[in-house]
Amino acid sequence: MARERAFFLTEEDRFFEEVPRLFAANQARESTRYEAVIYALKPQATSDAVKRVAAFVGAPQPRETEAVARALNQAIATSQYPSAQALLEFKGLGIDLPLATALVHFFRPAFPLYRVEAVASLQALGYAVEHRTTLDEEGLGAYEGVVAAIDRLKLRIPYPFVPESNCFLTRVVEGALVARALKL
Amino acid sequence: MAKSISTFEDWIEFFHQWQKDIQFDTTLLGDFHFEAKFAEEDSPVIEFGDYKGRAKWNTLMQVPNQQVRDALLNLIVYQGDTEFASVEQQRHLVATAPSDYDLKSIVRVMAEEQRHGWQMSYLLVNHFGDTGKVEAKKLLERRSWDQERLLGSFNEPCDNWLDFFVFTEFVDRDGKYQLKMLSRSAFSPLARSMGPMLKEEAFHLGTGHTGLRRILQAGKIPTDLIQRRFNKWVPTAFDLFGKDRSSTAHWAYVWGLKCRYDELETDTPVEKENLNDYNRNLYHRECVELATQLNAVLPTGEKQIRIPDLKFRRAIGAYADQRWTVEGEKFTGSEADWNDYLAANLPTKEDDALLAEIFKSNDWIAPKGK
Repeated sequence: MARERAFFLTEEDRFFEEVPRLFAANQARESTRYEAVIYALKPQATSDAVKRVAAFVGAPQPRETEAVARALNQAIATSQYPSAQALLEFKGLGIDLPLATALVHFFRPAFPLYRVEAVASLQALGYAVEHRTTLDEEGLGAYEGVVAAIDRLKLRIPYPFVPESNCFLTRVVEGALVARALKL
Repeated sequence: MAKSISTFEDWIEFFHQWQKDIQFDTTLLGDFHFEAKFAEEDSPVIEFGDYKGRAKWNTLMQVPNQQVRDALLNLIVYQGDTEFASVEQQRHLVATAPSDYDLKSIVRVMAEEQRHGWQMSYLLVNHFGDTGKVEAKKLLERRSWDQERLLGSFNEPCDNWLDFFVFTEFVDRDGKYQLKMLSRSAFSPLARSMGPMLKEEAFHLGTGHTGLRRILQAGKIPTDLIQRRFNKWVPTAFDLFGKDRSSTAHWAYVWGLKCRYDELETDTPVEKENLNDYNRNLYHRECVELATQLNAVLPTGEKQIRIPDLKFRRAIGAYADQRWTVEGEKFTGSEADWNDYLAANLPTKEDDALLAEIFKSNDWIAPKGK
């Protein structure tokens, strides 16, 4: 089957072949900042964790970081991958959906960061996904679509194209998608 | 609990009991799901050995004869044994993880190693009749700390996080080689088991390499102490490839069960009588490249870390029990001199005491979360 694919390469097959290079390019771009966040977090989220994650994604600092940290701990405790419904804990706290996904991602790495670039690459690969910023039911549905698409890529990617890294496969795929959109 | 295994559900009961016996904290697993995973078939036909070109075997009945079946069973048993053994070696390290993400990483590594053992047991129970069921149970009965595991590396204590990172960098890397060599096996259920396992193994290797890089970046653990850890683990990983001029490896190739690491990428004619050494040399070369990458982190003028020579402290093969230095020179001193040499080049009690002191503060591994 691998040989058949060699003659009928899809966009997805080409992407898989590019994953090691793309992931490395994205790591070169942001791994220092990413690792400074992920290795500094404690099991229970604090205001400091919220500030670090917000700074990483370039979001404005939430006004009530302690309330966000409490909501984050609740979301971590109740999240059931791949459902994103636990993110509703952040509703009314003045943070948008991409920041909410980032907060959960750093504590539950199976949940991908929800970024415009990753969504653009998924669309280019033929996935009917969209990027939304509002934290509501529709937004969560759109995010769950991205989670499902990345899950499918994780399942389908052949092992020779999975680079060795101390990152969950979700992060590898998401990072490669971002690099693809940025043409790194 | 059943006394013997009739179905895979019976084996699962033994598996949960094994988790309790080795005091593995299952609450750490979160929503990790244990299951057998199979990739798509890479090729419907056998790609090497004497049966090349024939259809792959999907059941044991299709395997041509009992000798081949026995060799196949043996390969799966050895693979499964290493998976459970490494969890036994590492399980106590969760209490001393340097960060929450490192804790997640080690839990992930141990969960996936257990899943790999689960996968091998699934094959044994579902394809190899009564013998397979007995062997699947024995995988959960041997203990690393009683030196009952089948291969040397997996009976060595993994005492601390430095050991863990060296182990995942080098011993798990041997695992990558073994899995890839089985990924083209003529026995289709075994071959199709390897893709998902190799994807997971990439994370384990990355954890080791990144961990060592972070340790060198922090600069708190002396490099000669790290070198002694390399000297302890890497020769055991060389041994994992098996004896030079192994007839077992020869037959496994002839029967299409296990190929060379680079079987589909190389034009080099196969030397069937020398397969283990061929693969070991590829592995050695990769380890040397990794050491070069790690040394790039060290400040200029710092003593470089090296991969021990293939002859140093080998327990099997042509150099077994001979006296060679870490650099690969013939050691010419007396037995007492040799013991002094080993004492100076392998982990010492003083190393352990120093490490215990260093681990008290959290700055022995980068980044510090500035």
